[in-house]
Amino acid sequence: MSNFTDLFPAVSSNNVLEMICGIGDGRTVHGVTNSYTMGTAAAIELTTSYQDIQGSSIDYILPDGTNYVHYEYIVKWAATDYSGICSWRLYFDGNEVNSAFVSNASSYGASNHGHHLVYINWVFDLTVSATDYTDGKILKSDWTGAKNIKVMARDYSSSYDARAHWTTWREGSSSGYPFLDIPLLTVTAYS
Amino acid sequence: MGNLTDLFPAPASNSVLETLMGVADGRSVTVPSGTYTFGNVTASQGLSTSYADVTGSSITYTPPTEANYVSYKFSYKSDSRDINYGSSGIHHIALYLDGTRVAKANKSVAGNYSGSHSNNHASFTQYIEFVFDLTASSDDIANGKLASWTTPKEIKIMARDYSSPYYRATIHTNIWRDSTGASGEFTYYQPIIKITAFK
Repeated sequence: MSNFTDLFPAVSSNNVLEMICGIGDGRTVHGVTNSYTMGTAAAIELTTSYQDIQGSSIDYILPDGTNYVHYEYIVKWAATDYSGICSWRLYFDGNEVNSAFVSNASSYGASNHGHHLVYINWVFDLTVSATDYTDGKILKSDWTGAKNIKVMARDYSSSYDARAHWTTWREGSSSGYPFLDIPLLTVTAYS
Repeated sequence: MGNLTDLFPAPASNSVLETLMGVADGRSVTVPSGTYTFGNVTASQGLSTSYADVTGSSITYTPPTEANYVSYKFSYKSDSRDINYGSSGIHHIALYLDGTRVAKANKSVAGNYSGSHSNNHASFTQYIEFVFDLTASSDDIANGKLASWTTPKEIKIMARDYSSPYYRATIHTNIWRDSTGASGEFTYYQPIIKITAFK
């Protein structure tokens, strides 16, 4: 007869508590204990004022035992004018995470062909002794219930406009543009 | 009465043993295999025509004993150097494991050439990712294959420019913020390392 522990081995485990992953089409994604509805993205023009970027926002509730939260938002960027210089900010509960800031541009060119993905990434550290929003360090007692994480973006100027979720060409043509290039949001909680 | 295995089914499991992930801000992160300290990037890094360690890319890692595969991902910011010979900012990326170059992971990165070296605007997020295979019968580091990995080994990135004075690059760099030049802490972007051990 086999040993009881052979028949029922200890649960293999890792430090990944939960992964929420979805595209910006309004779908609902079910986590371990909560469900999240993704935003709905459309191809848009950025302006010289910051605006919320669709599909980046999530009101996230921590699983028990979370020490780190990785937020990753993959968004398509396209130049409207020249190099399409723009700024991307990450916000936690209305506070900018300064350390996650990125500016983005293609090479300068009158043909404004620049099209590529922008990766907005941050790992929130919840093991700290005090909250420091600017560095994305959050005391666990300051992350109770749902906390909003989102991305905002703007152009450098009206001479260097840019677009989000935007594709100009498809199948060898620009007929019918803009085409939607849908963003991807992934939030992973680690112990 | 049901079978015992119906009442107590085998636990759900997957092939991920652990994920070690952190920002290069000097933090220490504890995972099942140990505690690891990340580099602390506090400035952008200009490259030259000789290979140099990329700040924030180094980590000395020991996988869990069951690991068959280890992926390493380094996310950083690429930028065409803010000098009159910048333009496309061509640079080369090399991955090293314990001092040996993993040639299979070689990459070159650049923006488009703008037609004028003074228009060095290319500035974008970028990453290098590679998977080490620990199921090989003998070590072949150049191809990322190992027979075993049971002791701490350093994983790091080295980088160099294509040439000088033309096509030079900087990394971790933000040139602009909002409608003006970036200043202070916004002039650099701290890179992120993600290591996943699989069985």
